[in-house]
Amino acid sequence: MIYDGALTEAFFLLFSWPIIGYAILGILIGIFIGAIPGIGPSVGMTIALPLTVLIEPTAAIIFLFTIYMGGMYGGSISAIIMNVPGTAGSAASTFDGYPLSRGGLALNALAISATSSAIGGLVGVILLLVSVPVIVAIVVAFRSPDFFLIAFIGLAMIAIIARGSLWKGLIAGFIGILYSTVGVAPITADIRYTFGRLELFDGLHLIPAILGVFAIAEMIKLSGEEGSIAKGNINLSGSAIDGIRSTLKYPAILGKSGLIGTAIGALPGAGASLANFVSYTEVVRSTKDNPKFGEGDERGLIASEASNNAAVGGSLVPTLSFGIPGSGAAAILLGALILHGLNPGPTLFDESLHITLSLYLALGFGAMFVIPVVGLLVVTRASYLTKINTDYIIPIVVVLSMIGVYTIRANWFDVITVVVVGLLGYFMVKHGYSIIAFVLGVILGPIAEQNLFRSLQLSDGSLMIFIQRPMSIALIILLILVLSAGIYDSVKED
Amino acid sequence: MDFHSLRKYESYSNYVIAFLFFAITLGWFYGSYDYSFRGAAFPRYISLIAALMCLTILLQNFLPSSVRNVVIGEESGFNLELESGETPDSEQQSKEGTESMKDRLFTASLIGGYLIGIYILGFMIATILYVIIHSLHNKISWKSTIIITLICTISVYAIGAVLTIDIWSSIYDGGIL
Repeated sequence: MIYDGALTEAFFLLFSWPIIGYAILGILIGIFIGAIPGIGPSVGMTIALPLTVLIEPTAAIIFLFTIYMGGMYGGSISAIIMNVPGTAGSAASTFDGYPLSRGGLALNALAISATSSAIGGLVGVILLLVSVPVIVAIVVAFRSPDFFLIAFIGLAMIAIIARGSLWKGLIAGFIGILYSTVGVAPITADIRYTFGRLELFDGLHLIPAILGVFAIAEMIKLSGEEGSIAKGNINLSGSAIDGIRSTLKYPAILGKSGLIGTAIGALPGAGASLANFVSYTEVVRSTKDNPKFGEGDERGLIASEASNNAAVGGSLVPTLSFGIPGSGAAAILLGALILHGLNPGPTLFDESLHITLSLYLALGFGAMFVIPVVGLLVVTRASYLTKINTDYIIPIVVVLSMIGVYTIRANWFDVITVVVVGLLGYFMVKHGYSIIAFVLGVILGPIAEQNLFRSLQLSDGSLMIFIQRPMSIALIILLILVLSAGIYDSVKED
Repeated sequence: MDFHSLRKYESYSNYVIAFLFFAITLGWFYGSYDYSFRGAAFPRYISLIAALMCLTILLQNFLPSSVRNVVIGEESGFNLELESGETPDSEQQSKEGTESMKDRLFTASLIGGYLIGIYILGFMIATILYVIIHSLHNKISWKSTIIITLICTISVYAIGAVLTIDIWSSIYDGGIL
């Protein structure tokens, strides 16, 4: 049995104090942040990330992960009440959630959202637990050349799926890789690109890059946006109990959407933002019984909400097994793993399997208890959350980012880096360079370089090592296919 | 600034960022010759590929249309999504675009100023000044300004106290460096 008591260990780990407290706090913070339009779980996770150095690694990872999870649910609150999705993963919830709300059924819609999120999340956990043995079998079969190749496959996939062009996405990824080459070289100990500054000998840290693109750049972007704040009084009418009953009438939609969400969440670069649209489209396609999609059909909201929470669990698969995040929030989670000395890959499915399983259980615990309970308690107060002016949030995020990054290693260069990367990140988003690809480059750069040299050492410098094993050949073919698909899509658009 | 000037600015900044990336990657490529081959090979080849890719963006007008489409992809930009040659619906749209750009430039400059402020005045004083200037610019009520300032300063103070970080030192007493 692959679990070998790891599941029990994970259970006791999650339900030990203070970890369970961090899990509940994370979900509460996530719901709060997710409900504020334009903020989203990524910003919440980003500003909390440097502060997690104070707590032990498992608690830190669970805390950040539960912010992600709570944020995904919280994003639906503003989508339903104001027609403004709090996160990209809730965009499809506006199609039927807002019409329900306008039709005097806001409480029903919010209860549908909480219940569907809970059940969708739970479906994701069950699928994850079932898939662990398969993931382990794949991950342990990977060798150094494969990890080198998978790094570039991840970069290419994210460059394609992310907004903008494949070309620009790859450039962003390469710039991220170059960022990671500052400091001592992993194999030869050359001191690279430090310009003689002692502060740069340890390299440019990962956290300023994450904070720069996900917090500072986002705040600059947000400062120019208007209309995200609810005007006037919002009337929350309807019945939460009826909303729960309505949701439970559609187990097939819940199951199918949970499955779609988990599968799409597991695709590198796709995440909840794609899952909720695919799931919504599928329910529209397959429903023949009196459909009223776009006018307040409960089934549309159920599909969207069940899938985006299931995608959170799905995104853990490539993040933990290969170090390739499924979304921006998963990229931050990956950064947190590395910050706390937990490298993605075989270790997380071998000696640290209990940590991986504790994340899965946290997802299940949140889905079963916290989201329904808190979600249903929050619904009656939800309108207050959507009235928070983002102009109030911007200075708080900026200040916490600046002091937060300084806490990592008290290095003034980190504070400069966060601002420079933030400004650069703003223009990158503006001109279609994927910031997720950039962060992925920063994360994967050292992994790719180390595995490249390890492979070349094993083969006495021969590149033939990359085509000697079936796994490597399969990965090279996959890389070629991914790049070809991206190029074909761009040419076809012309 | 009218709508077309705004578009010109957008196009100009697109080239600036491509040129910046080109310069960075080229610098990385030349810099790699200062180190041993084994230590420099990885950044050298990555920077070379990236530099060539950036060059294609800079030379996009000279590329065949199908290649150009692969290189530049779909237009992004946050709120200027009109096709070339199309005119904005109203003067209002142009005004909103200009104002949102001004707001973003102000926020970016203020964050840059905050960084310099931290260096010159220390974390605590710079934070107070940053929040007040931000609030004045965004016409936030004085009550809310006080609350935001308190949240920020208490956070800075608490983090400084817990992690024993010097949040008071300014350039006058040795600075943060």
